Amino acid sequence: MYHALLSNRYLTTRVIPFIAVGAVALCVALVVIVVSVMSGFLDMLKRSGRTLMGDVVISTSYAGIPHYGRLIDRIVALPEAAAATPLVETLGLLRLPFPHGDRKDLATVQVWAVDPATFASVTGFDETLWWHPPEPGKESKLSEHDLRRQVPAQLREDGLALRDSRDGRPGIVPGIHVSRENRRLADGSYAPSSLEWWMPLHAVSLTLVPITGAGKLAEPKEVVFPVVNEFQSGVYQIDRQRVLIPLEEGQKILRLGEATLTDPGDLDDEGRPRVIGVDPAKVSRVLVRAADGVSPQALREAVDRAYLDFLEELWLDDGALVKPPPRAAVLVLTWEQLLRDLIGPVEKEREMMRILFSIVYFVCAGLILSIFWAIVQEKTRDIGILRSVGAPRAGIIWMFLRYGLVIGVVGSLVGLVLAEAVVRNINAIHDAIGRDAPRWAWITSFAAAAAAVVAGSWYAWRGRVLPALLWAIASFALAVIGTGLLLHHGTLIWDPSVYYFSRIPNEVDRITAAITLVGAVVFSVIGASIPAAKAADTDPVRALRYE
Amino acid sequence: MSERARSASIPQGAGADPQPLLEATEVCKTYRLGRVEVPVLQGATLRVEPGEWVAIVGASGSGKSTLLHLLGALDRDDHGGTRILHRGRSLASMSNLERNRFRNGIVGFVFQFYHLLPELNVLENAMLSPMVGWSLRPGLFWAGVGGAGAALGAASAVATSGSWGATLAPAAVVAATALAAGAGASIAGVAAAEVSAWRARWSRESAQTRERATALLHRFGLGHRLKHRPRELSGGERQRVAIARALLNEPQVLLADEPTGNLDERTGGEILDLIAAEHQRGMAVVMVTHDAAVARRATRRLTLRDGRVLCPET
Repeated sequence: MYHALLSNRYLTTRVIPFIAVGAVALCVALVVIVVSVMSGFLDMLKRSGRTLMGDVVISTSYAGIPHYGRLIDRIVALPEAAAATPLVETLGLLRLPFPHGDRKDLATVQVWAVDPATFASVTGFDETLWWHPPEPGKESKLSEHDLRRQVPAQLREDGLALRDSRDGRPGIVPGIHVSRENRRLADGSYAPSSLEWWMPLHAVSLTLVPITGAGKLAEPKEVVFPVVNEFQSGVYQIDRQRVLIPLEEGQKILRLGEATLTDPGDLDDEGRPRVIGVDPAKVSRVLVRAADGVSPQALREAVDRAYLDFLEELWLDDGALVKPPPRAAVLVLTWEQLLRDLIGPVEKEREMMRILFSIVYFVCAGLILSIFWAIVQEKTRDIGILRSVGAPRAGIIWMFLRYGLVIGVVGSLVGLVLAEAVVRNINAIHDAIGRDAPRWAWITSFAAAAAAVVAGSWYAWRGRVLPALLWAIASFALAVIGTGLLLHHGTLIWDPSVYYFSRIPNEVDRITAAITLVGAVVFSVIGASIPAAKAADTDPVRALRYE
Repeated sequence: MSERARSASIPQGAGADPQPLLEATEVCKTYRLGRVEVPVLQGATLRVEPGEWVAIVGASGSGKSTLLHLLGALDRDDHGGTRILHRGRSLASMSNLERNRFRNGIVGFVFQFYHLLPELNVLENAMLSPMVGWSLRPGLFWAGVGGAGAALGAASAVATSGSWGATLAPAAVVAATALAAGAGASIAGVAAAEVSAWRARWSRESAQTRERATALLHRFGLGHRLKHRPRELSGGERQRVAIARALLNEPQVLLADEPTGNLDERTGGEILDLIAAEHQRGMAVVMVTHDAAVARRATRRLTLRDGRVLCPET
């Protein structure tokens, strides 16, 4: 009982334990915040990869995969697959409606020509469409000034169909950052710099360069598309570069659509190559989504087998004059493999951070050790008194270990709460840092600094050095903070063009939090154990002679 | 003296001629100051009978306090305590637990500089000896809890390693099991210590001890000071709290080291009156002092000079 009583009193009658708790809390919060943001970044990367391209991707060269409909039928019949969609990928030049000097602004874009009906079932396309009114009951989630409150509901349908419902023309859906006029606001929404430059009001012209069967560049083709919506995937590079157009349009422009097949060696009476059949439409990629509970790896193996069966079927089909590319010319990869170059370094970076920040545990241990060493020195006489009334060495050790345990547990819990609060609100904090400091903040700071000067002077006048010094330090710190706030004009720390995502991940990594908590407690106890052992070894007679 | 103090686990003297309460024979104690050896006691002999009041006088540095510490098992003589006996049993033959119980229940210390714990109030300081005493009881129940925790940890480690058995080396399974058992025992031990503290805090015995301590402090004129911290008390009041702490476990002998050395004459007299009153109730007192007037309150006076007890006088 005396252990609990004394260790609680030692904890609550001094400032040092509170400083120790604060230090442990800051150490724990530091580790959890850094690793959580990195883990969240990694998770977002993986999630977005899957949202953008499904689970498995079949891709080939510019020659494309003919008869892809039959391949997709085979894949969809697999129990491992839920859906599949064809697409054509190429690069293009987009002329934007707003001026850039004397001319219109131009952007180099990655073009995905997709089949809108199946594309949404494989990817999260419908969730990424930005311009549509909020669903009933979710209006309150949008700020009052959010432009989405005013846009017509038809935009969503138009975006999903990649078609302008007013005149039936095929439309284009660019990423939200393709237009440099779109600005991300503090509440996470987007708005054009002026309503005049709101993209769905305009049409853009897209220039693509087809490639001939011989692999040479053909005449570039420019097609005008009305902008029917914009998408926001959350991955800045994608939102900055990608545009979506209907598959048939893409195939038509790139000469990948269905055509007559001729034999250049067999000329008709008019000297033209004789038509020998049909050259089927082709795509450069097929995206596949896994059925529930099926891993991307299992799906990849099933799709791989399906492609081999597809190859065999087509090679045996005499009616199919154009054969699909051999297996060696085709890549069948999971989304993780496709993003390996990006995910791998981030994973390694996170582990490096974990290891580096583990040093914080030693900081905890050293901190507790030094504090306890001082306390044991100070409490030498108490130890002698306790020994004189029969307290065993084990009791003395437990008294100090308990002290360390309480500091470790309380400090870790406070640290976790702090980390949770910071991580959850990290975007709000970032946005606040990104704005000018409010006037009241620096005025309050300077006022508090002035009050601290007065308090310090009063103590100095009464000859109290320590409180005078503490108030002087406080006034200096407050004045520095006030000056910093006054001079602060917004700093963009998380630049989306650098950090890939437009928002900072704000989920606490539970496993890291649990490991950090246990680590901080264990190292706090280890830190306390050395002074505790010293206390137990204290000679009671010598301890009692101190006076 | 209470039944509890009398029935403490220290063996009592047997036969019609009871053994002396405390006995020191030719006790030597040498301190080492760097490379220099300083002999303090060089064959001091002393016998304390139950219920007597012995005063040991001597000049500063004569070894009075050292002798008192040796008698109270707070220190060991050069022979490891073999020459100091409690009711015929040498202190050297006691286990650590028995020595702790001896200091807690058989003897009570009072020091010149009071030695109160500044974080505890008057009542808590007075209750320190009983509180320490509660932690010295055999903890079979809690040892069982700790063992059960260890067993549970080991069992869960074995069960878990079953599924990993194919991939883990046997040494890793053994290490994991030992680690889990240690962690289980540690957690169970911590839980047991905390539960034990709470049980002691709210037990009937705790309430009774609190009542006894309150009554004793009232008797010592400190009824209005129960919640005060030592720094808020005068020297005399502090020494009264220290005496209350020494007496609350109703020891067989009070070992007082210059109990009035830091007090004025009147306050010192009051303290001696308190000790005399306890002596009247049958408690033995061994008091060291350099003040002849104080020593005269004792029933027997011994002089310590050159590390030896020289002049037994009554």
